[in-house]
Order: sequence, then structure tokens, then C-alpha cells
Amino acid sequence: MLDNASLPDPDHAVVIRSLGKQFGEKVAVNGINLTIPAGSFYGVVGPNGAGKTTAMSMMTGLLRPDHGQVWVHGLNMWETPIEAKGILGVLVDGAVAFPRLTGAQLVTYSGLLRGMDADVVAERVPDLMRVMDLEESANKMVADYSAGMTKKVSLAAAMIHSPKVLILDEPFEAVDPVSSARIRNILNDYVQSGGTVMISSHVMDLVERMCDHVAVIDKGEVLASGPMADVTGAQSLEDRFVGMVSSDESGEGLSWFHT
Amino acid sequence: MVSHLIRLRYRLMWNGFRRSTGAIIGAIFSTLGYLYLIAMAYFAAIGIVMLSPENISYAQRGAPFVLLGAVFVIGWVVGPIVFSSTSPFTDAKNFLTFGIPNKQLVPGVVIGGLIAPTGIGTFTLLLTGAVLWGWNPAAILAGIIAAVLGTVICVLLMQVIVGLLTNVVSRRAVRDTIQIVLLVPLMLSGFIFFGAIETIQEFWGILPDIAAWVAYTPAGFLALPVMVAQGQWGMAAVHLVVMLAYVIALLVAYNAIVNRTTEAAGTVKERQREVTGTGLIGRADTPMKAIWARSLMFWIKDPRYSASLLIIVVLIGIGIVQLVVMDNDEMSFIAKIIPIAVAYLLGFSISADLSYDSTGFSLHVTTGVRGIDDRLGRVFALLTWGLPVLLVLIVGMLYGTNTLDELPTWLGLGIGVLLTGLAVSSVSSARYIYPAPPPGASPMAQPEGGMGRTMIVQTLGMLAQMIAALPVIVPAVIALITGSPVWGIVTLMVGVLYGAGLLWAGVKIGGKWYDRALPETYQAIVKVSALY
Repeated sequence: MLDNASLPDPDHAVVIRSLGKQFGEKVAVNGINLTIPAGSFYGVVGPNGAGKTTAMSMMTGLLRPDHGQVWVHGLNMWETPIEAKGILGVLVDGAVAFPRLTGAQLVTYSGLLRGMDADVVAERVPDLMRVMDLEESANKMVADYSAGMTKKVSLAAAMIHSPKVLILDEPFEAVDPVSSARIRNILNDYVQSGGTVMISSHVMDLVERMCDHVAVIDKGEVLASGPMADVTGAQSLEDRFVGMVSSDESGEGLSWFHT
Repeated sequence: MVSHLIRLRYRLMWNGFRRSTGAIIGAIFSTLGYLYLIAMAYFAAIGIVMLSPENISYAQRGAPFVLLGAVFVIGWVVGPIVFSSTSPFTDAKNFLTFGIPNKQLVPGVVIGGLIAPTGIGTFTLLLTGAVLWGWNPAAILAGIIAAVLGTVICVLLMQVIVGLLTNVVSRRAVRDTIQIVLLVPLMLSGFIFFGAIETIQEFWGILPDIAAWVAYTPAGFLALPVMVAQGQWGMAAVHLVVMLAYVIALLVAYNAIVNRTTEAAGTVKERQREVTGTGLIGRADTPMKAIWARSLMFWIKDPRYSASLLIIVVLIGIGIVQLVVMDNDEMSFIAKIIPIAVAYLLGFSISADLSYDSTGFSLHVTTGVRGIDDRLGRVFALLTWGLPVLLVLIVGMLYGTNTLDELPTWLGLGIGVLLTGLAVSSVSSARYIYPAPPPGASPMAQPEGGMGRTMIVQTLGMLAQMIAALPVIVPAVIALITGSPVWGIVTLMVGVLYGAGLLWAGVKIGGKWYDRALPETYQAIVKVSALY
């Protein structure tokens, strides 16, 4: 535990201190520290099973950590969860959000659950559906959406209350290039105006292009974090990442695969 | 290729066992139950053989036997649809990317279906047809042929109908409706069974006529040994030809479905009527009201909820039948107790709400919904339609049985049972998650394992509901035994006041539990949703 004197600077969007979680024998997240400056576009990269989703679940109130703390703009997620969640927008990877609601209903529901004024919600929903290119499907059930459309409508549901910080787990998976570009523009504008975005992704290129900060996670540890240029140095993020994460020589290849 | 498909079937089953001990235990019990059934069937068949043809003629022993075959066909078709327990083999889409030619895929799936446990079980039971006639080589041979043909028809018919439903019917609403409508006979199967026994006794005489009519439908395959045993060689030959024609027709149909699935992969679009606006949710203006609106909509829109509605409708139907058909005083009690049973079930019905939300519940977690709002929204949604239905039902049943003077007692009991039940569910569902079909699955879908937890949580919940309702049940019983109007009024007051008080307490406590253990509850939901 940290005493009051060392409470994090509320100007930082998210501060994580010695955050850890163990499932049985497996240490999923091993006491990590991260500081996400306000107004940054922060990318989290790591191989499958590195602990990205576990860490993000603990940052967003979905999974109680074994130890450690998370502050969102100075609000402690695990001591004052309702206040901390109020300024956070979250996209949970793999969650099926009420597929029997229509897209417009789901986004409205998300706004109302946050206690927003009903008129404000009603005003914002068509805007969100428009920028997500879901206008035509707004009144169709989410059950009938494609994977990419489901992702977009969940993203809209995470943005309806204009949060200070967006935590998005794999936001671009299955999203078509046109929508993806549009979402990137929206997120960039949002960061320009002072918002903070944290995304996780497997696509190094995308993270390198979009983000100004990056953290590399593997086996529950933060291998490197900070401004993009500091982490990558002269290399590309992909080369830097592969260099850090892979240690074995299993890349020998399949000799029989060459024609 | 055929042998690959068969091996794949058993490999999948074996891997299912390795994944959970619950699946093994379930398999052992169902195997034992089935072996018992088979043993009883053969005992019965041998018992009939002991009787001479003078006591029970071939036509008489044949008729129920033919109808048994029809029951099997229905089971094979209705089961997979209602339980959505279709094996990967029922959907040709699963084999699309392997590029297996139809000539190998179709026989592989059909033979695989025959050799799977369900196929072998069906065949063994149908084979009783070879025993029924004593030592009669021709009839024994006919019995074996009929059992083989029957199993083939069951497997094919199932593949064709399930294939039609999943690949050709493009409207979700139609599929939902078919699934739910098919639930009704299953729920009533007990009644139908006893009704059928009674009817068979009554209609023993015309049973052979019915059997003769069924004999030439695809479900009449078991008529072959009956005809042979009676020496009706001409009819038997015609029957055999008809049955073979059915098999060929089904094969052609199945082939066509596989073709259509292969060619039309990805092009069968969901067609859906669009709603305009945001409906009830658009009218809500607080988190609690939003949850209220959403839950209320789901009672109609989500087949998992509509299925529980259906159980209540069926119960009401039984009550009305009791009133109309069995018009006597002893039976009137059953009619009057039915609304109370409905109240009890309604109270229980929201105990799986969080499991039904599945991972969508993450929206409630990440938006910081307060426990009290979540609990209240769900309770109000149920009361909105449940309370009026209950009141109308109580008044209706009492009116029907001419006992309106007991109204205060029954009203008090019904309201009390409903409110206390909701109180218990509000507390228990805030923390104890048990497996429930995730969105999109059949209302009757079964989890792989996790049944033990379901039974413990459900049984304890229902017991707790019973205990919570005792303070209303006691005065109600006194009122009914003594016939005292004062005790009736007491029951009504206790039912309303105590019920409302306990519900308030339940919502409060449930809300607190919800807030305290929210992340743990969410992780439990994620865990059980992975069981399907």
C-alpha cells in the first residue's frame, strides 16, 4: 500500500502500482507499474496470453487484483469504483453485449446506465451511429450484426458519456479499413482535445502509427514502457517487440512448405 | 473418409469427457438409465411372447409397437431442435472448408449417426420388434430390417429437418417460434404420457386402425414385422418398398441441403423486421428505469425468457382444463393452487438474470451501476406484468370454482409468495451464479458440466423461497381449514405487508452484496458462460 504522501498525480490519466493477479499456479500479471500521462495515445502490445486483458480487466473494475492499486485521474478504482468508472469508457474484448437490443437501444442503454440525462443521450446516439457508419443498421438487433459492426457499436457505447479516459481492448479487430480509419480519426481528435486513449492490439504497425506511448507486456511483466521513440529506438516497433519477446529459435521454418 | 468421420465423432465425445468430470457422470447416469429402459423393454416384449396369440393377437401387440416407432421419430426430431444439442455433424457448414465430396460426406454423417451412442441405443430398442413374435424366423428377420431402416430414417429425418432450420429458414423470429412451440409437448410430456395410457385403454379397439394409418408414413417403419408375423406378405412387400422410397427421398433431400449449404455459404442473410426508435429504453431516464425497461423488453424479445413465460401459460392451461373438464370439488383445489405455483415460479424466474445477461453484464460493471438500481429494475420489470397476471388468475380461478368468498386468503397467499420469492431471488442472484443458456442459445441448452452447481443453487434457492413464504402460508392454511373470514383478512394483510417488507429488505441486501462482490460475480458469469 502507498501512503497518502505518495498518492499519484491526478494529472496522470491512469497510474498503476504493483498490480498483480494469480490464477492458481499461473501468475497472469506480476506486480506491474505503468503511468499513462493525460492526453496520451497509449498502446499496449504483447503476445497472446501475456496478461494484457487481465491487466485491463483490473484497470476497469472487472477483475479484483490480488494486490496493487489503480488510479484514474487520482480516483482509486478499487476504493471508489463508482467515481472512477464514471470518467472511464471501456471496450471489453469478447463480451457479447445484449444481442437482443438494437444498436441504437444498446448505446442508449449504456448512456442511461451511467445516469446521463435522457435528452443528452437521445441527442448523441444518432451522432455516434453516424460516425460509426451504423446509421442504416441502427434499428437492427445486435445479434444480426457482423463482428466488426458489433465492435463498433460497443465502441459507441463506451464513448456516449464523453469519458476522460478510454480503455479499449482490441478495438480494431474485425473492423473494416474504412471504419477503422474513421475510428482512428475520432480517437485522434479526442486525444488532441485532451482525452486519453489506451488500446491493446496485436497489430504492431497500427500501434506504432497511432500511439505516442507504448508498453510491451510479456508473461505478466512490463518489458518496456514510455514514449514510442524511447521504446523503439532506431528500430521499428515490430522488430523491437519480436526482439524482446521471442527468445527461442522456432522460426526455423517449414522446409516442406516451400514449393 | 467415412471411418474418419466416425472416429471424429468418438474423439469429440472422449475429449468432452476429458474436459469435465460432470460430463462423465452425466454420461454414466444416462447410460444406466438407458440400459434400464432397454432391459424393461425386452422384459415386456418377452412377457408378451409368453402369452399365446389367442390372448393377445398379433394385431393387438403390433399396434402399440408401431406407434412406439413414431414416438422415436418425434424424439429424434424434436430433441435436437429444442435442446440445441446438435452435434457438429448436424451442420454441414462445419465440413465446408475440408472440401469433402458429398458422396463421402453424406454416408459418413449418416453411418456415423447410426454408430453414435444415440443411434446404437435407438437400434437396440427398435430391435425388440424381432422378439415380439416368438420363434418366427421371417418375422425376426423383418424385425431386424425394420430396426435398421427405422434408425436410418430417424438419423436422416433429424439431419434434414435440423439442416432446413439452420440453413434455409432465414428469419430469426421463425426459428425462435418453432423452437418455443416445440417446447410445449415436451413440458406436457408427463401429462401426455398418462393421458396416452388412459386413451390407449379406452381406444384399444381402434388402435390397430391408427397403427394401420401410421404404417405408411415415414414413422411407420415398425409395421414391417407386424405384417410379416400375420402372414400379410403382399402388404409387407409394398411396405418395404415404401420405406426404402422414404430413405431414398430423405437421402436426396439431405444431399440437396448439403449442396445448398456449400453453395450458399455466407449468403443466407438474416432477414429481420426493423423496429423504429429505441422503444421502452428510450423512455427511461434513470439507470434503474433503463434496467427496468430492458428487462421488460427481454421477457418478450428473448426466447430464453419467453420460454419461461410459456411454462406459465401451460400451467394456466392445465388449470383451465381442470376447471372445465373435471368439474368437481376435489379438483377445484388444484385449479386454485395453480396461481400460487405461478407466483412461486415467477419469484424464482429472475434468479438466473445475471447468467442470462452473460458477458453483456460487463456493461453494468463498467458503467458503475449501483446494486440497488440493478436489483430494483429487474424486480419491477417482473412485477409490471407478473402482478396483474397473478391477480387476474386468482380471481378467475376462484370465480370458476365458485369460491370467491376465499378471495382475501388466496390473494394474500399469492401476493405473499410472489413478493417473498422475488426477495429471495434478489439476494441469491446477486452473488450465486449458475449456468444458464447464453444469448442466442436454445432456452433448453445444457451446459457441459456445471449441472451440480445449478442443482445446488436452484434447490437451495427454491427451499429458501419456501421458508421465506412460511409466514404467509401458515395463516392461509388456518383460514382455509377454519373457513374464518378474519384469518382470510389476516392472510391478505400479512401477504401484502410482510411480502413488501421482505422484498424491500431483499433488494437492499441483494444490492449490497452486488456492490461488494461485483468483480467476483462478473468473473463467475464469464466462467459459466464458457460452459456452453
